[in-house]
Amino acid sequence: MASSSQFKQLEKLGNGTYATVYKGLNKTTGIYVALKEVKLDSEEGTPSTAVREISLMKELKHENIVRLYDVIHTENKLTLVFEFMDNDLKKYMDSRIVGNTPYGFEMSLVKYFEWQLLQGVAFCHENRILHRDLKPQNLLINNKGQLKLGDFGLARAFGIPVNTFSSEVVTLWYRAPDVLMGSRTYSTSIDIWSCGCILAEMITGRPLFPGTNDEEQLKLIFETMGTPTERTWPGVSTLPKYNPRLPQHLPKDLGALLQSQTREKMELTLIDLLYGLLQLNPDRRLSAKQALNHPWFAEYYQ
Amino acid sequence: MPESTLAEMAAVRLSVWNSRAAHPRVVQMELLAHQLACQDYSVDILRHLIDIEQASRPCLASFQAQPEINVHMRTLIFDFAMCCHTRLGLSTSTLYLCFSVIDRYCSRIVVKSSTYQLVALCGLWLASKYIDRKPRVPSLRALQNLCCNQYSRSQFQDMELHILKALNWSPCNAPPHDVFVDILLKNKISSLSYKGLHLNDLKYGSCMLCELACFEHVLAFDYNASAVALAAVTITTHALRLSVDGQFVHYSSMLKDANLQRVCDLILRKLRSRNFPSSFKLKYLGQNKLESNPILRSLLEYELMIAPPIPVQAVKKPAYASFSPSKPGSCANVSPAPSLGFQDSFAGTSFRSPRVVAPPTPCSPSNLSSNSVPKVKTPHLNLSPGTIGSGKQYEVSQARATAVRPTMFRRNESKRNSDIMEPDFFDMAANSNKRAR
Repeated sequence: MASSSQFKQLEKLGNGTYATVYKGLNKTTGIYVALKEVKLDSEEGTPSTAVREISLMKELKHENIVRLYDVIHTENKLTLVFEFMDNDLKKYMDSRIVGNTPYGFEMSLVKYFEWQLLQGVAFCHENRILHRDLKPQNLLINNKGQLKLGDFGLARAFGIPVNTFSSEVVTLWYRAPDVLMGSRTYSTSIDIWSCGCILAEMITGRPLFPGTNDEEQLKLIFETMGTPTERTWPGVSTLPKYNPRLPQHLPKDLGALLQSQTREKMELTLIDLLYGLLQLNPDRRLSAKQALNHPWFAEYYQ
Repeated sequence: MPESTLAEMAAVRLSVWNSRAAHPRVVQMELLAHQLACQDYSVDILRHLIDIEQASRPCLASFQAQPEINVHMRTLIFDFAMCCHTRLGLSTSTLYLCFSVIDRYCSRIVVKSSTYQLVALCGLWLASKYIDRKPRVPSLRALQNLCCNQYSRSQFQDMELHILKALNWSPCNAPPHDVFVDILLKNKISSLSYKGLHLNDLKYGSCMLCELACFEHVLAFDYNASAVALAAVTITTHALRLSVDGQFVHYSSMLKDANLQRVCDLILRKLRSRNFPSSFKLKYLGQNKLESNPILRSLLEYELMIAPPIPVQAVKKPAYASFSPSKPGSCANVSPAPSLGFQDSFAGTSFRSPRVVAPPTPCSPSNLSSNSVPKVKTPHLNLSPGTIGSGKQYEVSQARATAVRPTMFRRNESKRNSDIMEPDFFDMAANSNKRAR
């Protein structure tokens, strides 16, 4: 069991969903760690987000998921000791903005990151855990080019086959249309939509659907992917927040749209994968396992 | 626009969404989507659940070494926890997880009789934080009320942290029974034997049996949740089968594994005793008689078919038959009852007008009053109230229980072969070609 005196607290790395994260140094081993400090509430004791994050991360041991080494309890706070990562995908993408023009990654790097992202997501899903908050800020990377899923503050275990969750999860830009329209029994498909948005963002350097509120978010999605109808997505009109007066858009050519924002040549298989991840109808979205078997990743599994 | 009007409009929108979200077609659609999504992972998930189940077992020997608490107190504490769970309207899984947290904590830490109740409430608190949606998680205030302010706020907070530490910060890594029930039912739903049976009735009955099983320390400590769930699903299926079309099948014809038969036997024995915890009655019967719950009635009928009652005079009264734990606090083995505060807390929470909270939608019986209700067709089953509740009947069952009572099963001996639950329970064909685009 580690004690707090074992770690030297260094600079602040950021604020998580419910905690502050510092860089730390393990004085006995000389290894850097990330220290996530969670305040214990005098009303509600240990926050439920912390209970979930600790329980879930203790379970998840995978090379594409940030490791939780230990938990330290001191007076009125808990300190979660995580594996230290040099950077996150958001900061890394921001660092590549030249002047005002964002640049995407080289295609080989996009592929390597997306592959690792899907590996991590597949592992979560196999362990019946939904991340529910996948976004570039929560994808941590190190100097070796490794990518790991972090911040499981919103994650939770799902059951088979029934479970009702709240619809207020996933940062807006990466939120799936079924969730935006109030679907509450969403599942693994919610993380897959985010993986699709992140893939597009890595290609172009810009967020794919940067909405400012729920309505605008849906509008942006439908402008590009086409407005769903009962024919393309049976049952869509029964979703709680479905608006029948939505302007009808035809789907745009996603490949051409993204190609215009990157200098790299996009392969046809990549465009096919994007469509597989960004299906409006959650039933038709690929699973992480299926995505990993997609021809675009052939070089990794062959 | 004034703040209040905005808030009002938001509330209206929310209630409209909620009512739309409850539309059967939406629920059906979401259920289907979820099942499709899980299909790909069902085998992996089951394997994972069985792994973490092995790693999260309580230990009977440690529990029995506890100086101040024992299995009788355990029954009372579980009864109390289940009452609280019902009153707070928490998810089905929360209860199983709570029971598991309590038992695992008591397998590691010496617990005083006066803090056993605090352990139970904190177990419920943690389980609820892990499983329930945030607004459902009970507040510290509510928990204090449930035990008539017996424990202070800081005691709750300290105990919560102590449980977290004692269980190595992963108190919630035990798979609850209903997860296995769901998996088993999902994978059997297409098979013909389920014709005419309602999924929700099956789940309701199975969860009911799993809950009863948690009260039985032999089942809770010596057998895995997956084994108990499998036995419960098997018994419920046969019982509803019997009620729907009068077809009687002995459970042993379906379960070849001796350990699983043993679990079935233990569950049925619990049913036979008719000695249900008061919280169980509160949840499933309210103030009505046993037969008022059609699913429970079916289970009891099935139990009677398995082991028809034998004449009372043929049985000698066993020494411990006078022990009747049906009422909390009346158990002789519970030394100073006031220290546990049971009477207080039960009175304080006014169970006089029980609000029977059914488990979340999917588990409540479908159309309890409609034609799906299994009718008692066979008069020879003779389920008249007179024979069931009577003390004589009770003695009989106790005696029968002793007659066939097995030597105590040890964990390693009774360790269930995990292969039993593996792929053959899955519709492998359905796994392979999902979403072929």
